[in-house]
Amino acid sequence: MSKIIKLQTSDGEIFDVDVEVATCSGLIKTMLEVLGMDENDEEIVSLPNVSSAILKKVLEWTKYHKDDAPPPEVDEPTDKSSHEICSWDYNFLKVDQGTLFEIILAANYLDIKGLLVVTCKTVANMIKGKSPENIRKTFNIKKWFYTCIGREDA
Amino acid sequence: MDENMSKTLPDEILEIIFRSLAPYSDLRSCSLVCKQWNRVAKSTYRYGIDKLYSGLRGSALLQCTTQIHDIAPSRRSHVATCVVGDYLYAFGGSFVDDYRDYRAAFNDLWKMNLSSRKWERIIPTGQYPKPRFCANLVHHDGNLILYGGRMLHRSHSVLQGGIVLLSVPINEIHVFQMESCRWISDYRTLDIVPHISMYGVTEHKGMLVVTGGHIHSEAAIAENEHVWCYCIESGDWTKRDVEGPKPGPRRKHTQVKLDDDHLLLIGGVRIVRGTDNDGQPQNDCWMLDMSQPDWKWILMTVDRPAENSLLCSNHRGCKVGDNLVFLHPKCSMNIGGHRCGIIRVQRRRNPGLDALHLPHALEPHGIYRIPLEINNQNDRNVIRAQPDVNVNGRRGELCQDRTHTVRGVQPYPAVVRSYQFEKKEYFAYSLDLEEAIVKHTVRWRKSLPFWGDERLPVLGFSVDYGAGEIIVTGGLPLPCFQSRCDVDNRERSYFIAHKSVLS
Repeated sequence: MSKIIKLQTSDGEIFDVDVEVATCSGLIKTMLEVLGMDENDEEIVSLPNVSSAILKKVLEWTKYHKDDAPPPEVDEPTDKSSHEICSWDYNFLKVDQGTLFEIILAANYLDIKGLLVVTCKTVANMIKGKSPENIRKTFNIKKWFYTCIGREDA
Repeated sequence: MDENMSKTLPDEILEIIFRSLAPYSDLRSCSLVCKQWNRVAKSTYRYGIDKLYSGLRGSALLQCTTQIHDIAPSRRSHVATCVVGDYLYAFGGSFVDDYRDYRAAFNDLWKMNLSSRKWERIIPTGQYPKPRFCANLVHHDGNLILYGGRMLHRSHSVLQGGIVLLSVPINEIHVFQMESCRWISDYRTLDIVPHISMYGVTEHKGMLVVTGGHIHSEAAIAENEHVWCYCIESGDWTKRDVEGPKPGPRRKHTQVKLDDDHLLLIGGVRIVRGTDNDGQPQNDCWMLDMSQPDWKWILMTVDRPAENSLLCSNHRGCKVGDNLVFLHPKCSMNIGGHRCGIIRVQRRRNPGLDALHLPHALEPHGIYRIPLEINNQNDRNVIRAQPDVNVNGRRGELCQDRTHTVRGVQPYPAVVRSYQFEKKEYFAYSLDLEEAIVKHTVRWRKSLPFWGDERLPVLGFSVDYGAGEIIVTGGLPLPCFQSRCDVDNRERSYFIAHKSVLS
């Protein structure tokens, strides 16, 4: 009998989510620890920065990945295993740029490290091998002239 | 999407994205996109370098990433390498098979694009250098200068009853012009220049300064103590007699440039008069002061001497900012942390039995350590075979099939082999050079242990420094880990950087 927690998005929609899935988010986990979970109460956690379409995608990712080992802390020596994106994630993130950035922002806000890392890698893959002009075209950025980095180290 | 992206993604997220990029051309392209990206790209670049420095000092964790290449130079050691801009150039090298029966030297030139981590072969025109190894490549003004090294030479030996392959040092100089992709040979003053390999060389003010090295003849050993200078413009070689105490004759030492007037030399192996074998490994550190017209060698005070006497005698050090870095496995007595058996192995005529040759620099007395068989349920890449059965003294053959377990008694003796490639702990020892020029002191520091592929080479590998990462290429792993036991035979290179750098 797993507990259900209710998440309310910026457009007012309420999602019923397993606590196990919801606590993949560091933000929700901290909130629950601080506020405490009462069995009888129906807790509604409000997420004003996340729209319902994006929360749907985020929940889909966390449901699939909820049994993953948590990403290692920075200070532990670990086996640097493949830093490739797995095929499920790759297909999952075949969305338009706007949605991708919204997912990144949501993952950052909700503190879901695994999702943040994989989405950022996706964006990095979109940047690799491109000239600055191509990058601007891809991401629709206004042009700016500036000095570039060099080999500053001795 | 019509909105300006830079307004939607905050700096901290851009930094996570940039850390997934290699710190070369991709990051440079990002810094040219817009003002915000420029700011974040510069800070990411600096972050990678600073974190590597703190990793070397022992206050942060390093990690070693293995990059598997589909196209790469064939397995070889003692390659001459040089990092220029976004590329790592590699020339030549030698390959020795396990039984030392087959040996080859190369003269191909490759470059690795450090952004994409892919090797490309360069096909230059011009006068190709002879195939060689143990040489050095120095970059100067758009040219790569290749000097000396050893090449293989066929000679007839009455005692050994046939043709033998000797390695002899050479003294030719070749210059590779990067712009026009041509090799040019410099024949100008070859008659006076010594034939040396395993020397140290650095470039100072348009001049190559060469110290030490393995010189072949008895008389030439005295030459080893001099410093040779090659003026790149004019092609003149001069021998400098440096007065006062100087480092003894040595080779395989590491020489680095401190600035235009100072170079540092450390470690190496003493050359013993009259013999061709490796002498004593040495740990002393000298600096050559070239600021005055009369040059002077200064013996440096080494603070906290290195724990391992073999550290600077066989391994090449790499200059990372103000540090000179040497990589070393955590425990040189164990092989990969397995339980090790200590056995005495002799070479026998029957090739079916394993004859392990460890290079005499590491194990001169014939005691070898090999991993024992590990019975692990979760083995991957493990080849299990029955113990060697020397059936009636029949000549055996190596077990070629690596894809499934081999059971039962083979009609020919099979190889006793059971390896599981695991992670092994390494240290990065760094010599702090900050106070070298002013106070004549250097200090050893040890990093925290980091995990790396067990197959990280231990012999003849090349270490170079890219932007915020240390690159290990080439080299041969310990003989017992040679390719025939490796299901995946592709070439690898290793990148050591701070843990949080994701690429």
